[in-house]
Amino acid sequence: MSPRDTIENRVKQFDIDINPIRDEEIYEQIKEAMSKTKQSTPGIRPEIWRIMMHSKIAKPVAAAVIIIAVLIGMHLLNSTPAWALEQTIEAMKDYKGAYLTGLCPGQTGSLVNFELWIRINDVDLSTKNILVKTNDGIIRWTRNNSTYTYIPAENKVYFENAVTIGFSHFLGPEFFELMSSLKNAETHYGFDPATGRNYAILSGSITDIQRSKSLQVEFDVETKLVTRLKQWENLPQPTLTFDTTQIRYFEQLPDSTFEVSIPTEAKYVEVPLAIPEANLEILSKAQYGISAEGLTKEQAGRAIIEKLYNAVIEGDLECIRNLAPVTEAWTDEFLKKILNIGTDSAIVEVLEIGPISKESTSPVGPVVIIPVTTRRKDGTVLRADFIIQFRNIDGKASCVVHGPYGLPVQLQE
Amino acid sequence: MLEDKVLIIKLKRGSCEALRRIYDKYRRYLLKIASALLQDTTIAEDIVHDVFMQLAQSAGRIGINGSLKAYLRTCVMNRVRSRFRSDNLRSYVQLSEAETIAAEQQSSEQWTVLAEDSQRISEALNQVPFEQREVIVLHLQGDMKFREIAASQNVSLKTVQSRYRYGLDKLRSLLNSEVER
Repeated sequence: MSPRDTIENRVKQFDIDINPIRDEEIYEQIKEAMSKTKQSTPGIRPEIWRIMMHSKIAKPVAAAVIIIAVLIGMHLLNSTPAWALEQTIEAMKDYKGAYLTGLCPGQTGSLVNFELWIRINDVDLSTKNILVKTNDGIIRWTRNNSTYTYIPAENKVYFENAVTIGFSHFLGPEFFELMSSLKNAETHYGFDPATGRNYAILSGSITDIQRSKSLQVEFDVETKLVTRLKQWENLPQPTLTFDTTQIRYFEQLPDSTFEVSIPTEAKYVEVPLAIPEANLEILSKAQYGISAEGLTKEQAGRAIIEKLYNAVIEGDLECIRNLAPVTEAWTDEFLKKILNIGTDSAIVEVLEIGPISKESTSPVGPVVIIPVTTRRKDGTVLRADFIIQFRNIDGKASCVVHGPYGLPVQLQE
Repeated sequence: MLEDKVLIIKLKRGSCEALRRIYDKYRRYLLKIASALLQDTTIAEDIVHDVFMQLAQSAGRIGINGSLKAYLRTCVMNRVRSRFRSDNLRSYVQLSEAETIAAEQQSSEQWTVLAEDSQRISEALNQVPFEQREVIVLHLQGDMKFREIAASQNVSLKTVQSRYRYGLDKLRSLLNSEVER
């Protein structure tokens, strides 16, 4: 052993004894410090099914957040507005487009102005086109079932082969029906002297997997239209994440509204498939999913999708929760509405599953996308892509469904 | 690594269980580094205490992209360097605080105690120039590679290797090792 080895070993052996009583006291101080700063947490409220369709893409895509933020807030609002919901539904049924302006955090975190145009499909009222521009130059839009984000500082267009932004329920009847199935909302009425109009504000707080958020939806009492959407994160201090200054509704918006011009030399980069960090924990719980022992990813992916759709068709909510653990805390009523169980839009038949269309890896393990084609009770045919997360827990291979990748696409009547 | 990622997620949601696990997992590691670098275990304890307090207070907004261990170690190192840069380590306690701290020390025991040999090593390390000491401690106690240390000190790999070599030579002479004799 050289002199250097000897001295190195001696320094390596440098050690401390920890006083267990003092150690516990210090831990208690630290725990108390966290308790003082943390928000009251009414329990885990995972993101809802439709929200999973709006998966967050890579970090540079700041503009995406505003839409997702609204969706999360809106959908998780625990509310049954005492206020006349049916009238709102009636007021909004003719509108197929909207223009929103407001503030949201930009790429650097400071607030920027945004403009958002959206129009929906006539048939299923899901988002047909969306275009978002922020005054830091970022543009995000959808076209032909793909989502694009232009980052001027990089002169790159990031794209996903799925519609990963948009309103699954727009601000129309379907959306309000969903809201009506929720509970614990608070509604406040008031009079705005500036405009001379009465308003109603529906407010609530939610805690999803990641953090606590609060949301306000303001309605004009006379027209029953949503006039303002506002959302903020609660921890550690209220931080605004989305606030509209204007919402205008249109019966139709022309194609030209959604045309986008970007430099011809801009590079196109596909966004890698990623699982949100907030979902990793729930996806790695051993009690969920199915065994993938001895199966290829393709075989296991097909098997879990088949089981999931069987559960959806049979209305087996416990089985759905087991296969797609993000839904574990959703109420029965909410889950049924999200999946259209018992309605004319319910899935009644699986036409085709697979093959794997995309692969990636998350910190939990391999991730694949498996497409599935289904028929609804009303005869329409849908294609949806599902993200499957594989795990290896205690040496045993298994998989769970993370959720849909983008909005489903209607193939034919 | 996966466990740490899950711990961070849980911590962000205010989980005391996650805080406990992180504390149990890394406090000894951090205390050893701080104690070896500073000799004065009271200051080392304060630093590690501060780091955990800060972690707890900012749990909801914490953004850790790399490893949790490296994040905590960097927090400790930044504070250690900051303390060291101050003119006189002994004077870091303001007079107004001194009485309180003295009272606290009388009423409660130390968090850590060094064994006799560790005390000797600590004293010897304290006589090695700080930059060399830092390389030795981070490499031998912090399990860091020279390349990582170079990046953290913003110097070349060669410089780090030299500091390590000179530091060890100095340590050897200080500890008057049997092999040398």
